[in-house]
Amino acid sequence: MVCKPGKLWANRKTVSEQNYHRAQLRATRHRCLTSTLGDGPAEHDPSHMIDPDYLRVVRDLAEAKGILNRCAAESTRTARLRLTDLLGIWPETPALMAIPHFHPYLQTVPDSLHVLDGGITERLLLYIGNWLYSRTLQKDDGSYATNWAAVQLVNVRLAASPPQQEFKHFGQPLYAINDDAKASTAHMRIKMAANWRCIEFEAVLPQLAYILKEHTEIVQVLMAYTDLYKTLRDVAPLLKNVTTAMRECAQPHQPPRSCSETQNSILERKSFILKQLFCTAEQDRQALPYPCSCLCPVTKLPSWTCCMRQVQTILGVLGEVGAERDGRRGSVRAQNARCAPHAGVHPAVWRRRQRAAR
Amino acid sequence: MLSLDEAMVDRDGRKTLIPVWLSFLNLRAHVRHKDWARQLLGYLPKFHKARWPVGVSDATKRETKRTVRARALRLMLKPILLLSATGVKIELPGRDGVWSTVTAVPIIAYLSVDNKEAKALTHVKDAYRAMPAFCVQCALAKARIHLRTENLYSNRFVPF
Repeated sequence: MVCKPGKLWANRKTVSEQNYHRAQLRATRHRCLTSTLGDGPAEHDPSHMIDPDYLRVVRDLAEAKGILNRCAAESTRTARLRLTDLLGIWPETPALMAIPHFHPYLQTVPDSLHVLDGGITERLLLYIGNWLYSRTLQKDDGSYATNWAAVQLVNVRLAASPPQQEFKHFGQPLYAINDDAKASTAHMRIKMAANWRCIEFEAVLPQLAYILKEHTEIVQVLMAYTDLYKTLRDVAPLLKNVTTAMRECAQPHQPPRSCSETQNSILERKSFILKQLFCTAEQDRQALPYPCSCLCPVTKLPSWTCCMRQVQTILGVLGEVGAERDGRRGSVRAQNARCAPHAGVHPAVWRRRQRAAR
Repeated sequence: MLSLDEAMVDRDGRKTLIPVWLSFLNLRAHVRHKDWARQLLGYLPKFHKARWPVGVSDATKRETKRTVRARALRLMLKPILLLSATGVKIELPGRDGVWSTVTAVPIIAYLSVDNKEAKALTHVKDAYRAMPAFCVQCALAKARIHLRTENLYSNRFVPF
């Protein structure tokens, strides 16, 4: 089904001012009101999709109701689809429209499980898994693993990790090979082996920094995201945590020596890191149709090198990561750096390993 | 607040239901999440993919699903819609501890769902299955590069 632009595209002036109008001019089918049309010769700019400062346009409820009423008078499905294609909705009237004082497009909110854990965190893990699938990883015995073996090494290391509280999946694989031949997901060779709970995502994120210790850039990304993740999880549920976050936002930020001068608060900087995070992951895939221009304007380096605190943390941890096999991983901490949350090893496990080693 | 999510009712995930829950937003979150603090309104219908009549197109199937789902949800919300128009007399304790009868008008403030159900209930067209869901064009371009099937997506913006 391909909807052709009709007369309404040319007459449209109500809902969106800029983005939708540009989409109208290009006569491209857009379901999302966040436009990806750019000004350059490529005419494609996906940065709005991950830009938290970009103002999203909410569908106009009155206009949607009007269009749906007009759809009821149409006799053919094609005519109905052509009418509703303006707003990217289906021509059947949803039941939520009948609720008084309720804006379905504005008051339908996502839950934190699917936005944070099953959403962006799982997506990041999938990025890393697929990135590993195209990379070479050095095993603990010195040999090299490629493709699925490199991904399987993550599963093996995760299974060899000590047990964590509230985390039951360490004995289970993290990644699985994707045998689905559907066109929509066939380009992702690695998928999650199972659906996880929130607490399991929270537990596994800091562990991955040790499991992927050879890939410093990915570890930096992971640590930056773990820091942001912890803040987001803490901010959401309780008034106490919101107060803490507000205090953190109000705290003046000491910018590092590079491009973060523009980030005025810690929260802004974390948002900045999140944007760079995806750009870094995408840069490594090298399969993008657009060039990623996430460089520091001062040092002209990739922007993740400017996350100095995370770099200090990771370098400090990796400097002593040789202690991992001795079970002293939880005590490893860089000087003047924040420790990774939940990265400790239970003392009983440590003592048991020491006894076994003797 | 209405909340719903597809949930498994067996161990291997072959049987699932979509319960619709109603809870009061004027309760604190840790109380609101208790089992007794929310009310099950009903279950949204699910469709067995192998039990459609022969010859029914995918577009017709999707349209039927949307229509039936909307009708089912409208039936579940019927008492609330009625009470939201008239209000209901209930007995509540005041700040001084004295119980009194007041007229309460229920208003649905939020619908808390995941992305899949949000698109299904608001009837917004979705690209949920695109892996880098930030940008549909990027997803399609990646699919083109990886699959090397240029003719499959040539010169057309293919909906998911």
